[in-house]
Order: sequence, then C-alpha cells, then structure tokens
Amino acid sequence: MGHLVVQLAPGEKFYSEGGAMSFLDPSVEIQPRLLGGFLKGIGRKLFGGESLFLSEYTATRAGKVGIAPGHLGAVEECDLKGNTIMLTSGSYLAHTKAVNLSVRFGGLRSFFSGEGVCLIECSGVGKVFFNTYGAMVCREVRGALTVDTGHVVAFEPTLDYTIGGMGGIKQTLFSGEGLVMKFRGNGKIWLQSRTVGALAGWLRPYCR
Amino acid sequence: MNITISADNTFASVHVELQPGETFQSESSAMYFATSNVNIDVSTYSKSGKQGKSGGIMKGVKRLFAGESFFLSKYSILDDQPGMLGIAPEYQGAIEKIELDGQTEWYCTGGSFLAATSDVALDTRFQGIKGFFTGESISFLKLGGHGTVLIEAYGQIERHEVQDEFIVDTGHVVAYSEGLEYSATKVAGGWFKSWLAGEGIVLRFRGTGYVYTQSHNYVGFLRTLGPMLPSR
Amino acid sequence: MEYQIQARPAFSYLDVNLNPGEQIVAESGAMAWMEGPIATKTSTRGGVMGGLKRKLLSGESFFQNTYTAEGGAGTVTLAPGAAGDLVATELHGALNMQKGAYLASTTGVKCDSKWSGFKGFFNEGLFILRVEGDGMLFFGSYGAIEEVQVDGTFVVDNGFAVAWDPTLDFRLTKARKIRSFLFSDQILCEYSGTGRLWIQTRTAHQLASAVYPYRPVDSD
Repeated sequence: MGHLVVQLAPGEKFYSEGGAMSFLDPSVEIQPRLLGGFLKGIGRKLFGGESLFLSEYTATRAGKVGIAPGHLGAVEECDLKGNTIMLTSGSYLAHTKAVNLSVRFGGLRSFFSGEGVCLIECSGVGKVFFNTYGAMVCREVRGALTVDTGHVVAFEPTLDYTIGGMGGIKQTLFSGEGLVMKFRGNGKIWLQSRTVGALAGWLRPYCR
Repeated sequence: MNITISADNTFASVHVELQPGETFQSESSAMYFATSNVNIDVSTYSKSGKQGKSGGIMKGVKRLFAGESFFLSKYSILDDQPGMLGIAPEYQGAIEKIELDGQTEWYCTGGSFLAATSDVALDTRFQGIKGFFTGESISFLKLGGHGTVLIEAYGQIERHEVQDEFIVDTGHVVAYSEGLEYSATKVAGGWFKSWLAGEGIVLRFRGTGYVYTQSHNYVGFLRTLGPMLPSR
Repeated sequence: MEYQIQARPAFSYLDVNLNPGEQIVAESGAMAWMEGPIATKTSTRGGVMGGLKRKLLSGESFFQNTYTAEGGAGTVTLAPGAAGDLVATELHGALNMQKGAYLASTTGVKCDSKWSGFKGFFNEGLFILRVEGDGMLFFGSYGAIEEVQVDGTFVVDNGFAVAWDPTLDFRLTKARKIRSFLFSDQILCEYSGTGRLWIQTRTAHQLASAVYPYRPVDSD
C-alpha cells in the first residue's frame, strides 16, 4: 500500500497537497501555498474535494518528509519530461519544483450526486505523484473505453471524453452508476478499483 | 504459543495458537473467530489501571478516535487440546509486533493496541495532551513487562529511529519508546499559517528511541466518508 | 464467458469477458469500466415490489443491472463498494451470504431475501441473502477472506461470517464470562455441521461505528 517518503537534499524544495504531511525531520520547513491562483480566497475545497492549498517543503539541511495519500491504495510517480497529464481531483498527491499545475473544470455536474469532474492539468519538466483508492490499473485506450467517473484517476490529454449518464434518465437515476466518462482516441489511462462513493453506498444499510 | 501475522498487510490479521495452560489477551472486539475450546473472559480497564470488577465503578478509557471504552478479553484453553483464535484490527491496515524486554517501556495510542501476551502490563492512566485549540487531543497506553505486543494501524507501519528530534502529525502517531519526550506544537510558525498548511497539531519527539508511524490518517478518511452517509 | 479476479487480495476487482450474446448480472453501481458493445439494462428482477422488498430486507440494491454483449464481444469490469477481496464460486444449489457481499452472478442464479429461516436472527441489521441456482457467483468481503472447512463446531464473531453452505447450522452465543455489563458488543455465532464457511477480517459494523460522529447531523 503506497505512501510517499521523500529524502530532500539541502536547499531542495518539494510540494504536496495541503495537510498531507505525516512526519518530518526538523531540518525541513513547511509553508502553505495556494494552487495556481484559481478561485483565490474562495473556500478551502473545490467541488470534487481537491484542496486549494499546497504545502511547500524546503530542506535547510538534508532531511526526509512523509506524505500521506488521502486513500489506501497505490502511489504512482510520473516523470513528465515536458508532457502533460490530467489528474482527477482527489488523486493529486505531490510534485517537484518544475511542474505547473492548473485546475480545469472537466464537465457536467451531476444534479444527483453533486459530483463534478474537476481536473488538474500537470505539465512541465519534473515529477508528479498521484494516488489511487484501491488497486491501480494502467492501460492503453485504443478506440473507446467507458469508465464510471469515480474510477478515473488520470489520463493523457490525447484522449477525448464525454460525460453523461449510463443511458436514459431512468438508467442514470436508478442504475447506481453516477456518471460515466466515455473516452475516445488513443492514450494512456490510469484507473482505480474502488471509489469512496461506492464504499458509502455499501455501508449505508449498516448505518442507523 | 504461536503468533502468526498474515502475509497480506493491507487487511492484516493474526492467528494465535494456544496450548492448554497458555493465555493471551486482546482488545475485546478484535477476536473474530475461535475454536470452541477457547475460553473468553471480558473485563474493562478502569482509569486507575486496575481491572474492573462487576458492581464497582468502572469507566473505560476513551480511545483516541472513536471515544469507545477500552475492553480487554483474556483467552485460555478449556480442555487438553490446542486451540486457535483469530484477532483482527478495526482499521484497514497492517499489524506490527513490538517485543518488550522487561526494561524499556512503550507507549501506544489507545486505538493502536490490538493484543499482547499475558505478561505484558497495560497502564491506562491518562498520558497525553488534552484540549488543544482545535479540540484535538491524544492519549497513550503504557505497555510494560515482558512479552510481545501487537499494534495495529491505518495503512502501513513504519519505524523511525530518533536520535535527536522528529516531528509527526498526530493523525499518524502509533507508538513510541521510553527515552523520548514529546510536546505538541504547530508547524510553520503561527496558528494561521498552520491552519492553511492543513496540518493540525504535530508532536515533536526529542531524545533517543523509536517512533512508529502509520502511513494514512484515519480521521481524515472518516471526514471524507462521513458526509456521504445519511444524517444522524 | 471468461472471468478473472484481479489485484488480489486487497481491493480486488472482476474482469468479465463476454462473448456475443452472453450476459452477466451485477449489483447496481458495481460497474467500474467496460469496453466493447455492452448494453446495460436496469431491472428490478422480480418487479417493483419484489425489488423494493429485497432492498429493504436484505440491504441488497433495489436494482441489479444486466450487461449483455450485443453484436460483438466485450469486457465488463466490476468492483464492489467494500474494500477487500473477491470470491468466485460455482453454485449448484444454495449458499447463504451476508447482505452487501453479493457482487455478480450469471443469469441462472437467483437471490432471495425472504427465506424465513433467518428472520430476526442477526442483530445490527445484518440480514442474510439466500442465493440459489446454477451458475457462477461472485461475492466480496470487507477485509481479507479466509475459507474454513467446518467439521464440528466453529465460533465466529457476528458480522465476520460472509457466506456459508446451508448444510451448516448456527446459533448465537456469548463469551463465557462477561464481567462488564457495558460490553454488549460481542455476540458470537457458533457454526456446526459440515460445510464451507467464508470469514472476513473486518466488519461493516466497526466502520459504521467509527464514522458515526462524522456523519451530517439532522437539523430540525
């Protein structure tokens, strides 16, 4: 099960989701930072749950910092090398200095579940770390793939997608699926084998 | 006695094989199966550290997260055959063994104590810090004596050797050894900045010893899950 | 039809490869992703009343979805809501399982929540589903799953038993000496006879208790 431990050299900086620090050597300083200036000053959380705030770590001397993902699952390291990757909100974990993050609204807000699809576009020369809830599945899309939105973690921007319900209104309302993203094109996609929404659905009958 | 921790660390569990005459103890709700020759004796631990007696005034110790009372079950064998019991933690996550040598005492959070061999003594007198600005608090169980302690955590358990100073977010502290002192503090200077950074209270450990941390934050997870469930 | 349980033992999911015309029935909300010409049909499998009753009594979804590969082969990937493992078993007859454990089955398998043998038996809303028929059955656990061959008696804490052969009898029992009147949690279940028993290493009840303070409060 993944979490991230980063060893920093003196002077090195690192960034993570705000509040994700689990442990720290005293030689590493931590400061709050705001993500991309988007919706500045409006609340702490975007719809979709991604915190606007980042933590910036600066090592005055060599030291380690532990970063905790929000969910149990895998942590993936992606070396961008000038490329771009789209992350869904909630899966962003951390990044190195030369990565640019910007928040994008990804599409249709569901009237029923209140979910939206909020994406974080990561580009630049550096590493971005993202996490899954559950097992991580990485595959190539060749043509088309339909994914329940809660299971989408990240994808390459060469993929197009549409967001919608599973079928007619009745299908959407009753089929249990919230929204699905229908991907088209060729590119890599990262999926997760669990969603917190489905966990809540499973737990609901046991709640008094 | 045979204590076997499952190979899978995501949903770790323990199988304990007891011979006639041997005993074992665990947090009471942790036992999930037992062969029918295992005797289960349940009692509470009162705040004074003495075992509760029925009819007396008893108050369980509040656990860090759930606020539940602390109940301990003691297991023994009823007949002349070996018996088996299964112990499972509450959280999704790993189990770790701490060996007590009779000299060094250990402290673990109330929620991380899972089970122990019978010669391990638990002191539930309040140790910790209460009533922070944010309403958080942390309390520890003291573990002493000779034997094996099993601790549970949310996520993976990692051991850190502390030689001088080490900082851990309260949501990630599992256990620490005698020889370390701790103080509660906030990172990043003033209160305002700390809140922005998302960190709550952290514990600054000083001295020489070991600290066990858990990779994930249980309260953080419950805070995400809670709002998705029906109101109470 | 071919299937594969992936990512064992934690957060397991099920890949189902359907040949043209083949179908798989799944708990609604279980579809994680799918590829190919798959048609989804939501039905209550027994009419509106049947489905509603099944939901209320068993906690199983009101709606089950039927996925059909139409005009070509396709793949449906199913994932349960609970974090844990999955079991695939060939059913010829019946199996009893905890509500919430059911994931999917082939069309010859039926779920019955009104089997009177269980009425009022389990506490904490732990209703049991009786699954009958011939075909493949997939169910999941919360936590890791252990299969036990019971031959005699075996004691399980209530809530940890996921599924068992109907050849096993059970009765509720308590820990032998409970010195604290405050401790009402531990209701044990003694299984006896010969048959398979699947146990999980976590229970929904534990999580429901832990999350209780974090649920929204009813404001009047």
